[in-house]
Amino acid sequence: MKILVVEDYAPIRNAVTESLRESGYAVDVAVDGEGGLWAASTGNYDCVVLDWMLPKQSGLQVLARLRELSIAAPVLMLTAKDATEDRITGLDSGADDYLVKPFSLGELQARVRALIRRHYVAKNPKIVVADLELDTVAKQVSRRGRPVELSAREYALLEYLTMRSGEVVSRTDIWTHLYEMSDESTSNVVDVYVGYLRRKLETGGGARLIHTRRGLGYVLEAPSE
Amino acid sequence: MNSIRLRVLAAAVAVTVGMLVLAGISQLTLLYDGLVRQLDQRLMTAASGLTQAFERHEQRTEFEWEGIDEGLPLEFVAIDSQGIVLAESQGKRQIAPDFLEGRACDVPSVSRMSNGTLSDGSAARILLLRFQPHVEVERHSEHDTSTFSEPIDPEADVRLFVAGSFDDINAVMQLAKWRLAWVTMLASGLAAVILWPVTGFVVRPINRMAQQIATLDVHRLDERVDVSECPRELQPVILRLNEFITRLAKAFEREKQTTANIAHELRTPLSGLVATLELAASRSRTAQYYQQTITSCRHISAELQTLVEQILLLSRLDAGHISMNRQVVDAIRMLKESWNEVLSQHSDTSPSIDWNTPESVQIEVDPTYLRQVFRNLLANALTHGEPSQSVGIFVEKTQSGYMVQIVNTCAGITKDDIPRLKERFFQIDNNRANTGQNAGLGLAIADQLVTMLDGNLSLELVNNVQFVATVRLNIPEVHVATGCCLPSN
Repeated sequence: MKILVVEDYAPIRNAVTESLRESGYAVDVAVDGEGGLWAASTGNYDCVVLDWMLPKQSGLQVLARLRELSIAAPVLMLTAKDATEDRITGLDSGADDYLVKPFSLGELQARVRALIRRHYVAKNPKIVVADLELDTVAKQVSRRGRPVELSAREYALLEYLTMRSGEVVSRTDIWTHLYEMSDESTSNVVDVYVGYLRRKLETGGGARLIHTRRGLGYVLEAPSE
Repeated sequence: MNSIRLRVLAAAVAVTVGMLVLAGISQLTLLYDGLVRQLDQRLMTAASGLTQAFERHEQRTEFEWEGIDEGLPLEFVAIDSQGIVLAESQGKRQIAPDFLEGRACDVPSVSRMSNGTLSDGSAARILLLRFQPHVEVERHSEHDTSTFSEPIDPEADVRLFVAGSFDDINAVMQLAKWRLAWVTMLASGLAAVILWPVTGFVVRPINRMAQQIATLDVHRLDERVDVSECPRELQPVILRLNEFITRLAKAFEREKQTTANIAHELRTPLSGLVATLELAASRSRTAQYYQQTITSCRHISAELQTLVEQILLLSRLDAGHISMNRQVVDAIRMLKESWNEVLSQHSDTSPSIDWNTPESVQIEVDPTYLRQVFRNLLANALTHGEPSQSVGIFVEKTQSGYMVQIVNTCAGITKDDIPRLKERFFQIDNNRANTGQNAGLGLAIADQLVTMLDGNLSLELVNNVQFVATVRLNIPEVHVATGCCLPSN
């Protein structure tokens, strides 16, 4: 999952970015409204953490422009404004959630997870596909009740595929959701990680869940009977 | 008497009593006049009877007591032209001789009333009358119809003084006065009882207004007391009250905005502090990581401290709790030190500097606050100027002291911003959320400090290009003897 953090105050920006990265998200960063708008409108983000008070363009202006461009990425507004009217203004402008400073990083992550689940219409934090179970809070995967050990990148790939289970997801799409802008790896790396995932998930005789659609990408779905 | 109702009641009762007293005095006057007139009438009647009792016979005037009521409560005395008493009443009192003296020869032919005194000193009404006594004529026979005309003899004139004491009138008047006093007192009491509910009606609009005002509180300052429903006399008061509420609402709004601004400015660094510490504590880290975290937290704490100090300084300035510690300082040296200090904090800018100042200016001023003014203005020039701008610093002597000008090329400041630049928490870029050093307090603090240092700060935009901050200090230069050691601060 890839997240864009738009925050001008360096200590918050660094802490939020680092925290999300440590939780396995790919995180891009912008330090002002203009940069944030450019990144959000050109990148493919699963969630945007957007500060309200930004230099050059306010978070509200960025948000309004994003919605005008039909960019539906869920947006979590960060702000020091806690008045009810401010919350209403933020949510009415198209924000999906609102977090008042000072906040806990744990709460921020929980809200980000919830927004991503909602974005992919997965209300339950535990996603189940056939005999595969993925706990998005504990970041744990099990198959037939047995835990499967995955690296952060493998977990991120599996989470993205399970969120979109039943859909064919292109390599580019996967890459843009798992890798940061600054990452120099190519989309071929996706094939490598899909291979790792299959191997780990099929250990113990489990049926194949990740299928290749030639020329299109990958799909995660329950094996046909 | 603080109660309006009591005041109205007292006024109404006073007016009622006043009217009653006036009416009473009028009645007493009429009564007195009536009684005096009545007494005059009695004196006239008595005098008329008495004149009939005098007869002129053989060049002598005689008084015939027959038919005269001796118990008549009147005193009289009749005197002939020689001053000889012809007759007088037989009572204990007589007309005072003082009164008779001088008047005996001056009695008019027409009756005249006068006030005088009796022999016992009591006041009396006295009728003065001069007349020719009756002349007895003998008729020769029963059929004698011839007329006889007695020649007028001035020597035969009788001066008659008839006096009636004022005692009865005084007694009646005394009784009337007492009755009037009682009636007035009774009427006052009755008026108070009757007017009490009436005054309640008078002050009812005040109570209604009071109830309406009582509903106002800090949460309902957008409401106003309805002027149209209050009596005309109270309307100026209500209008002033509404104006006061408007000012109060603005003050509350300013306070609310200031509190929100302070909270906002504090929350961002606080949030950074919390997030940085939480991230460090979320898992085991290297010693180097913790070292970086501590450095970062110290930096944030310094920002917070700067902000809190600025807010506290403003608070002290507002409360007037600033004590001045005046010392002789070199303002030019202080300007240069402040510039170097500010420049070191803005390492991302590289402005050129144009100094146009005397070599040294010695003034007596509080160095801490003057330094703060210079720092704020110079920091403002660097923060809002173009990154590679030229900053000009000019100092020149004026009639009343010194003028310090800081000129920089402005970036983003418009003419509309100028009047608001001294407002607290006003920031040129509304979206900017920089904290600590740039919370929109610098110019507000500088303005208040310059005023406190007996000067003024003006801000202007020249040709939409140059931003000029001018400090005029009404502080004369101090001439210091050569070799004297000056505090540098």
